[in-house]
Amino acid sequence: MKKESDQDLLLIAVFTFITVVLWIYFELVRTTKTSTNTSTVNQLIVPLTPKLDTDTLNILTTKKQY
Amino acid sequence: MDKFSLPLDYRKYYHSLEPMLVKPKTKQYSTVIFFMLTVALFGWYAIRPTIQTILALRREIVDKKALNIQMDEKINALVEAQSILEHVRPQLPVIGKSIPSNPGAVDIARQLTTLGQEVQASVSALQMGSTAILLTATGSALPSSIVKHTTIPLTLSLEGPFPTLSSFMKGLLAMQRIITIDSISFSPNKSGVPQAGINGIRLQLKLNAFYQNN
Repeated sequence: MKKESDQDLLLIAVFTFITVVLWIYFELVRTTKTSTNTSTVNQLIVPLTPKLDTDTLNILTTKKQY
Repeated sequence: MDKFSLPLDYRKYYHSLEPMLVKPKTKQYSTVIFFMLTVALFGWYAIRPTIQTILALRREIVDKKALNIQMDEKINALVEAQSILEHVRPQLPVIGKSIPSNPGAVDIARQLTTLGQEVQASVSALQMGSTAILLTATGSALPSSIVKHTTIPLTLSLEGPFPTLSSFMKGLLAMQRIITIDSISFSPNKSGVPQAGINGIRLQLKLNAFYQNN
């Protein structure tokens, strides 16, 4: 009876230990994966392509107004 | 009884625990159980916050470095875009004339009629889909980088010989105000008086003009 009680306590301790270790691991993984940039910063760093279709603009310039 | 000694009732339980705790098996179990619980508690309240802070700071450093590079690229792109804009600034009013911010329905009609007169084609009918004559700017509209267009449907009928109609079409395509052609239909002109050597043709065009709808 006493031995069973010891084993139960040991099992509880082992499962508590495993749970806590896993919890810590997943928290740390989440911390590593989560970006620290805010949504405003993410909007700011959207790449900009500085290209303008000047050919079309030149064609429009040559067109006539009646 | 001094203040550190246990009351008699509790001392009874304590004394009953003593023989149990001296057993080697219980000692081993207790050591393992308390070790695990201590490590778990210590890990949760001491190790986790420390490692979390270290990893968060390292992640922040990586993010800030990447952000710095992206910001530099964006700044360079903006400088380049600004120089292109300054280069084409004199040509920018052309865009407003090609696709104005107001429907300019009367202006389209005037331009098409003038073009018809220039090429000596007879504009017999000009119909325009329902559109506002003038748009009033709404104060709530925020400036957007996406320009939407609204279509003004047009139907135009004109008559004349083929070279005249061809000139009209060329003139239409060379108009600064952007007008797209949906459909073209040619038919012999039955209503007009036939002229010697000239075959009158009736041309019916379905067109679309556009204006910016911010």
